[in-house]
Amino acid sequence: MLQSLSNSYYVLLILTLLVATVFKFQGTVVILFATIIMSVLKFYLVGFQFMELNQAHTFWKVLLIVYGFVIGSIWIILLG
Amino acid sequence: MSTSPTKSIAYPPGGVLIWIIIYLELITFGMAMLGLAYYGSQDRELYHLDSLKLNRVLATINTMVLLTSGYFAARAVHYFKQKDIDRSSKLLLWTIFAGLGFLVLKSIEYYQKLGAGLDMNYSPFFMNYWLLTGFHWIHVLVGIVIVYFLRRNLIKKRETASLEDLEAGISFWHMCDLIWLLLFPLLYLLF
Repeated sequence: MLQSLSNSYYVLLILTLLVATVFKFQGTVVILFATIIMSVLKFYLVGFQFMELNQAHTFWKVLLIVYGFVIGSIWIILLG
Repeated sequence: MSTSPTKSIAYPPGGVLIWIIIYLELITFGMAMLGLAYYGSQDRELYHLDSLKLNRVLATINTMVLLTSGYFAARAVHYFKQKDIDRSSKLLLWTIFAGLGFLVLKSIEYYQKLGAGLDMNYSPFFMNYWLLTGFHWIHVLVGIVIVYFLRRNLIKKRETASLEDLEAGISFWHMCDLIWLLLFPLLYLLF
């Protein structure tokens, strides 16, 4: 449990640094996609690992997955 | 066959009420963020130029500070379940410090923006920036107060403190993480 929390934390920090680094190459659709996907991944990691949604009923998991998917998709449609 | 209480639809970690609040907050911020994305898509050049006026380095550091506070909070819940109250309360204190760090860094950024004349009336982008980050700032402040009282309760009641109360309060704290993880790319990177 503690190990998986630590692993999630390190992945979150790495993804944050990656997102902040790739913005320097902004202007391409691929970078925009990558930024949005990494941001939604971080959103899921906090929800499922830190908030322990991985131990919750499927209903709550699906709600969070749908939320992240809808926000990410609309951003891609509008800004891509 | 026995099932964990959290596997019941009525008992997500922290209880159903806090999760209703969390989803309502996510929907509210989500609508505002979609509004910003829509208007930004109508005038990309203007929003891009305004976005460049933000301090991305400070925002990246702030994201890491907030994630660190979330990590401390998640560990505090873990240690409470292990009945290690001292370590749990120490981690809650670090959660508060990291949260205060976020607020201070954000305030520095606000100070810089106001000094440069980038207030709410400067442009539609900055009106969204102030409203979204301002409301988020208030949520973090409320979260710090909640974590403070959770810690006080933990020190007073020790092992008899309620796990559901702790999980509910910490879920609110993580909600601030969730919102910021979407605000950060939208405001600072995507335009």
